[in-house]
Amino acid sequence: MEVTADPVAEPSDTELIRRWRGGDGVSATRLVERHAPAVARFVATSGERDSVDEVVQDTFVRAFGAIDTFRGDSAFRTWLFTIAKRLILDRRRSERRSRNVSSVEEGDAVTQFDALDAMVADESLLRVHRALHSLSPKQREVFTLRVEQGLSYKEIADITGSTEGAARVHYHNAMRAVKEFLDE
Amino acid sequence: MNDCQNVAMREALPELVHGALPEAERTRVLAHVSGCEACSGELAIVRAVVTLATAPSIDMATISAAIPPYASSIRHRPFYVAHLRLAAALLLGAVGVSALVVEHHSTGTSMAVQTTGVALVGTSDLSDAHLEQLIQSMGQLEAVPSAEPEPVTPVVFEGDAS
Repeated sequence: MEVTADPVAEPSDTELIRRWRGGDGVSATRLVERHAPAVARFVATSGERDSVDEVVQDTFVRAFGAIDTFRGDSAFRTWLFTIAKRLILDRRRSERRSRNVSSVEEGDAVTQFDALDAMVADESLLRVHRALHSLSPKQREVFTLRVEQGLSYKEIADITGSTEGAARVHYHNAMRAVKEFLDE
Repeated sequence: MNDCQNVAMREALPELVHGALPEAERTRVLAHVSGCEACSGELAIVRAVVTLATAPSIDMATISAAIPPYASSIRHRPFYVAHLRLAAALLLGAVGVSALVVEHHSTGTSMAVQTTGVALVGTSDLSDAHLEQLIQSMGQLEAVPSAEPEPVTPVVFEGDAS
């Protein structure tokens, strides 16, 4: 029995990148469609809801401009998250310099999280949302990457510049903190 | 609420919600959750967080249009530099810098060979500037004569009529 390749199987990220390098612009569009929603969720969760479009666009422009540096050691989406994270940090540093604000926390997304309150109608969901708000920036980052994005601890470590062990600890500490908040 | 002691089960909950578990593993985790209050509570939290994670609407067409066409970031050397390197390699190989000193002795001929070794340098290790400098300096080299040849004493063969 002849085995043929599934004609409708989605090409891998690596294959789409290869095609794009060969001049196939549609492959870039397919990569954007595949990963932009997740990158947008990541950017929004990081507190940049007002500039999600801009950051997501910059992320993809940077990524494709530096595609030759993507070695494939990590997943393409993980690499995109890393770029987005750097862009967000650069924006915050730039804003701090222009506003002359001193020592702002890396996870300074207080106003963004408060704004989300108005969007959540379900009381139980609202409590979970506020529980996430109560986490430290690092715990919130790791927790949301693990739960929202379903990333492995290794991928989280790559994005956050941490280790798998530290990511695991942050996740479990965050889960414990959320449960204690909800139990109050 | 106390944490479940089965860490593997707790760690599988995000994958369960994202549908990333193999069928057999999914069945195992669901069976555990149904009998574990702690994991059931954690699963509810994971599902709530995923529900909260609404993706903001973004304009994908604009993002795609902003992506520049592919341009290799590998710096290609100018055409002539590649040929310059090849010429340098051939030149170094051909020259070798050897000086032959021929000594003619009455009992025979022997050749004393003096060689001046030149380390053959891999030209790929040289920068463009160093390579051009090397080519120029080699062009300025003059053929250094070997030691002045010893006068040759003609050998006369007896019986030679001419």
